[in-house]
Amino acid sequence: MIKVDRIPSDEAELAQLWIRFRSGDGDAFDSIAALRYRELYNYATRFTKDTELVKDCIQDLFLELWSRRENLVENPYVTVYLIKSLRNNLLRKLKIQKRLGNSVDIQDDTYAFTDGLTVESEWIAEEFLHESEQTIRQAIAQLPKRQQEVIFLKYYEGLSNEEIASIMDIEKQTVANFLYRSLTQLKKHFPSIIKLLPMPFFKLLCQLQ
Amino acid sequence: MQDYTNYTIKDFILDDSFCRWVLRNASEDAVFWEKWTQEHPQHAEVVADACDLIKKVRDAQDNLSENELREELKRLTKSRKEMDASQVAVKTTPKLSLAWLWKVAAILVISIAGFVFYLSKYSSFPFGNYYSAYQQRVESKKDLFQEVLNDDKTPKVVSLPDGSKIILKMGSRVSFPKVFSEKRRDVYLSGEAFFDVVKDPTKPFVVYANELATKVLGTSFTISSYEKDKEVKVIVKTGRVSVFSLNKEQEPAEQLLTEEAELILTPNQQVVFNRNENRLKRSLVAIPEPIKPISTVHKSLIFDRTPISQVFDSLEEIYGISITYDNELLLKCQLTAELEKGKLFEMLDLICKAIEARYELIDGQVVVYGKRCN
Repeated sequence: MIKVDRIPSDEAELAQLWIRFRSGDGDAFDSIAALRYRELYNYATRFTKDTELVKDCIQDLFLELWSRRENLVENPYVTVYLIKSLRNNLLRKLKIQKRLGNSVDIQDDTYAFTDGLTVESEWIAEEFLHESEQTIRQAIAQLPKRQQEVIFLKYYEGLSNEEIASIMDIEKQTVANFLYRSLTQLKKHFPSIIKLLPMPFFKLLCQLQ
Repeated sequence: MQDYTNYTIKDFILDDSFCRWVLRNASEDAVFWEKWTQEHPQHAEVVADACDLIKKVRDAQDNLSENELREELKRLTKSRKEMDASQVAVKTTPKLSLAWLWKVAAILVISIAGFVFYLSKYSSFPFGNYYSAYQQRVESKKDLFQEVLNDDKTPKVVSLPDGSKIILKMGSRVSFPKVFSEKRRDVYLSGEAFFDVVKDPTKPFVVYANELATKVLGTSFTISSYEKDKEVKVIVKTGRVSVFSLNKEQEPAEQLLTEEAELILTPNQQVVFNRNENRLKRSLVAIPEPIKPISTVHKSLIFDRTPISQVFDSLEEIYGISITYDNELLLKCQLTAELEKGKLFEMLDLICKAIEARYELIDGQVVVYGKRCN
């Protein structure tokens, strides 16, 4: 059986912790942070390289939740709620920095809204299979920010296209387009490897050898 | 029911339920997929490959070390407790001594050198304009404020109601409320001082010194500022602070320290306030220093056909600075070199020479102009 690690199915546990946290249980609050901090941090670093800013932003987010705990939503989808709140805070902060002339690449052209894409080329997952994590990391870093974000929410958080759409405030179809386009572009970074071989044919080839 | 038997690896990794199973192991997905893989052993390989790929993509997006994680969680718990403690204190009696209990290890050290210090020392005119600026500011608040003057030759330690400490240099004075307001910790300075500030995200710590207000944002960092006749300077070594210029006509505490008006300083940046031109200018310090302790960083940087973006990334990380360049243009540029660590600008010179580029320093950032490599 395939072993699954790191992100357990803890949404139900989170919901329980949320109820206790809202009634003022500090330990429950700490547990929520411990369960989700890594994800939030990695998500935020899609937007900026300024890790100090990211850390401060997450601290602020949690402290704000703590101070407003009595007035918070009763039973949210905790993971999505946290991601969405962090996204709002972070984008607001970065926009202000941008206005002040600080280096912020969040609003560069690649981040501009591109809807209704046409995707002609096929992408081949096999190409990545033998690539190292490092190579994939680099390839992802080359993608436009918005596509990086979709890839993250999909392949780090394991969220559905619908949930991603609600976080990024875009149409579900746009998510699918972004995803498709990202994977197509990722392919371009590994041109050396087998091209356009359908899976069964690839396997056949291996067996023949 | 979806027919998964025709699924290729691509279809699997685009499937919501499949991804959720691999990444979150949600029970309803797990039940289905475990059963499905058992029933379709001929697809086991594709499924295993898809799992593998999804995990690789996930791991490739992880940037946080265990240490950092622990550190940040500790910091959060601490801040939460401080927040509770301060709220309890406000509700009961605002006893000053209580504040000592909330003192934390994460400390911010600010030093702001006041102009008056030099002026009063070397000039026959003891209290210059800047002293009067300070005096005007605190005059009306005398009843609520406490003032400490150091007329001794040795530095004097002053404790604030929130547990923060100030080391006051000779001939300097500082004023602060006997009880800090609920919103902000305001301190007025004339002269030169170091600040040890207790972190409290709900109550920013603001120091008003002459034309500048300096606000604390992050956890532990150092600001030191040097004063010359025509300039006021704040230098950041590590961490973050924001600096505002003050309108002289107006009461400083009433001026809105809005996000729009602030200038954020990150490591190795400095801000110079020019008194004549009345404006703030941000730049890099003359000799940027690594923000990480040297022991944890290798002595030299070794690059072997490393993409230039990675080279810049490591410099950004070591010095906490920002390097801007056209990623697409320099995509194929690589660097093979061993660079002695220590002098940022020398390293930049070498790198730029290697890829036939040049760099400029603009607004406290490095901007690289280059051309496409083959």
